[in-house]
Amino acid sequence: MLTHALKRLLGAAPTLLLLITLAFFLMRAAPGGPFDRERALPPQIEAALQAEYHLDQPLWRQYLHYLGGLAHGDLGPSFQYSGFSVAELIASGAPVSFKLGACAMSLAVLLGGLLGCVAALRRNSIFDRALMALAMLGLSVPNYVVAPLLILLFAIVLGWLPAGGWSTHGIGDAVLPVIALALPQIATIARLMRASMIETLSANFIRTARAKGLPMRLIVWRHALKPALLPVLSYLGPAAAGIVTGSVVIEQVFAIPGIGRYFVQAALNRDYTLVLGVVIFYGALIILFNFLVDLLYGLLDPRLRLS
Amino acid sequence: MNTGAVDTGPASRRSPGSWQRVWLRLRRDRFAMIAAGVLALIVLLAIAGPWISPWPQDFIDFDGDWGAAPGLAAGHWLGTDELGRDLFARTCYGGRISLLVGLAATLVSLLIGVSYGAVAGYAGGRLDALMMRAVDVLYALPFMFFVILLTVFFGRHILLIFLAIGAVNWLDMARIVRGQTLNLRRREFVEAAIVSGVGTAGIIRRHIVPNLLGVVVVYATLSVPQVILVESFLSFLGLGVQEPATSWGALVSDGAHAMETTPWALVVPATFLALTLLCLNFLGDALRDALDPKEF
Amino acid sequence: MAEPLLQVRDLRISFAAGQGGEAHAVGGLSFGLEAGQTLGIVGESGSGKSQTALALLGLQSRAARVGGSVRFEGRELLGLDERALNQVRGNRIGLVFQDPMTSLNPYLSIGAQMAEVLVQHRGLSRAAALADSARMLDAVRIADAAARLRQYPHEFSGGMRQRVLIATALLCHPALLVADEPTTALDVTVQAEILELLQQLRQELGLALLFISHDLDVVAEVCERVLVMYAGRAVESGPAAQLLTAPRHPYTAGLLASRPRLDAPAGEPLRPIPGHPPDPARLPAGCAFRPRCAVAVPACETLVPELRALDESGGCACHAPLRDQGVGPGVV
Repeated sequence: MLTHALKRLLGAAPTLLLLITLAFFLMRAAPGGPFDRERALPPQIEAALQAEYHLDQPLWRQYLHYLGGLAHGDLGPSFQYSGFSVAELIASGAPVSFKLGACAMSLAVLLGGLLGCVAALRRNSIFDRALMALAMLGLSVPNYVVAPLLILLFAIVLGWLPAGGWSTHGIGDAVLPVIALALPQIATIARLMRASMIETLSANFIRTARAKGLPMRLIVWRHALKPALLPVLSYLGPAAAGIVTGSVVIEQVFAIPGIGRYFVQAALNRDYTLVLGVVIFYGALIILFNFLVDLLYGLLDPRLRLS
Repeated sequence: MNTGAVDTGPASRRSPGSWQRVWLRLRRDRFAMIAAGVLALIVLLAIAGPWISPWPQDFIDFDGDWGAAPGLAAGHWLGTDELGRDLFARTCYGGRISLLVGLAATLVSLLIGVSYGAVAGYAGGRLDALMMRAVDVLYALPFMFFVILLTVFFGRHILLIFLAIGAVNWLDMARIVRGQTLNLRRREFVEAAIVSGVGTAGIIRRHIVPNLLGVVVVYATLSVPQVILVESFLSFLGLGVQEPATSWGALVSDGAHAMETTPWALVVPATFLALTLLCLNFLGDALRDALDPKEF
Repeated sequence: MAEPLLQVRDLRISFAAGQGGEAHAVGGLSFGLEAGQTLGIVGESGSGKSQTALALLGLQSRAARVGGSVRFEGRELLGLDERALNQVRGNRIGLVFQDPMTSLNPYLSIGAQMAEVLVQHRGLSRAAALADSARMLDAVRIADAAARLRQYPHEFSGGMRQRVLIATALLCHPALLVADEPTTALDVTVQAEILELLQQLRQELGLALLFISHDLDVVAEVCERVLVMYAGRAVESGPAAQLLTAPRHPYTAGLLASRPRLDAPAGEPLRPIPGHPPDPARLPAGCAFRPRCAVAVPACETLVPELRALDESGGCACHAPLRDQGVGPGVV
């Protein structure tokens, strides 16, 4: 188990380093950017850049300085929000984004898993067909289309729920954004769960369990659920990436003060350091999540657990 | 196994008969046929729409109501947006851009993915392991943010957008093609060709590529909607196609801002976008089933 | 006369096969098995023998249509609901399958997989069920049973897993054990051990055994009586020794001639049966074996031969049964 964890960590570290390196050098290579010496910058920003990025030193030294800063959680100052560091901005948006993402993820896993299981057990029934058609629809309608449509229907036409904002209307604020964010993931997980449950139920050990005279309920619960969940588990990494990506638009549409909103503003205003910082933060988050999923995977599989 | 002159040609390729069978199976799938029909209609509209429409897509109709509801009377069949631009013309025009980006970026990712995957799978051994490790590492990168990073650093040019999407989207293709090639390489007809002295290039051209066609077609069908999604995501955020040009994503974004006064400006492009993605996904799934479910 | 333990009559299993057609996996199979006795069913893959085993307990795939009658301990099993079938499965009838490598759940400990049977059928507590399971592992000659119960399937070899599966099938002391190719996936030496174990357990526990295999020699080693299946039908039945030495059906004779033997004269070639078994969706008219049969007569083309008793011990479904001219002296 420990070797498994170490191996996974060794896999995650270079990915993170690659992300940082690519992002750093891309920023440096960008034409017309803040590091383009052709451009005249206000003297105080010039000075701040100088202090922060050691522009007088060779590129590789600058890179090392940047890495060193990262290790201390220093992502540099924001170009746009003067007086704020990138780390501060991220920290201020993180709790909101985190709550939103965690709710959407839990909803996606629970509802998607449940629906997928039921569809697999009632294979080819009307329920199954209807659900799979809906899931296909859910996959095909991106959340930036779902979100405004939800607002149109539930906030504007029906007036049941607020159209946006965060922690101004109580829990009602979270309902639409969480649903909009979770929907594509619910669809994907339901499809995945259904396929994996059907495959598991056709396994030889399920036939053995049936030959033992166990009731179907027990077979599904004790014998089939865990192996059927494993593919879903390995999808959680990509699902997290999808939710992080989705949160960017969802925060935008619902005017939620999370990291995603800063990110979009920064991207539109070409606030290089903030964009870079958020990309690295998101990247690190997704890589960390993948690593945790890998660990969990190892914990669930007895072949990995014991060796 | 016999030696001597082994004719490995016809046996190794998907015979015309088998393509015919795929087509027949696909024809029997009612949903797939409906999806194909709807898709053809949308593509036709995107191509011909701007000519059919009496209004240019960026024409502001000062004579009509700004934000007119859909109707036949004023000639704005699907209404106008907040600025009084004809929604039908804009949606068709936006469709051109979205579909074009989808196709172009898929083509880029096919080119990179197929050659990378085929080389890795055919070479095998350490080169393969190294190449696939690189793909694994890239795979773990949050790809959407990378595209955003590129658009932020290098400007919001449409050509750049689909180059960026294609350049990041090839990973799936490379993996699938590599797996298939590895499989094919171990098959008898390829071994037979090697034994009978056919060169590497000849084997790749005559045996590997024709047999990869099926997977590539399926993947391309499933990749187009993904790319359209990415483009519309960027455009929705204002990072993609720039005014006065437009795409479905940008239209949905415009519509979302004005949905209280002109809800049709949101619903129309959203419907076109969702319908296209749905049809492409359905078609891709059906194609995969028709080709051979066991190949995946 | 009292009803035998298991009485199968006219068992039919079919599947829908494209364009409204039907594939007949089993077409009218009948046999009986007395308590404590052994019966072997022999046939090539696709002859319907495994389908038969599954159908006895209602475990056939959902696409299968099953007809006929399966009476066990005086009760009709076909058409019983799942609840009632579950009281028979694993309790009165134990089932062991071909592939021990994949027949155990890799995510549950051996103890959990064994104990659940006793908890389900006997209402035992988990601790009592585990104690009983340990005793049964002992009985199938697995050393250090209590510790083994805590282990997972991947820590067991194929032969050991098959022992575990046999032990699991026997936990509730069933009256009948159905073993479907239990040794096919195992090494030859392990195969011999498992066969010997089955023999011993059968005697110790007074089990009836329905043993299914493609290997006539293996079946003859374990079973008193043998039934040979071809294309979903019984073609010959009789005492094992008699079938090996004096087969009546040309197919049985062909099977005997085609197997490799150590005691055959050096250089004598194997004589495989020419041709292939028929597609169950397109069975030929008349005898299904006719296209491959060397001694077919005109009646074989039109009339399906019924299994007729040739003497008190056996029967044969053939229009032109062989008479003591089979394949030289076989040694059992």
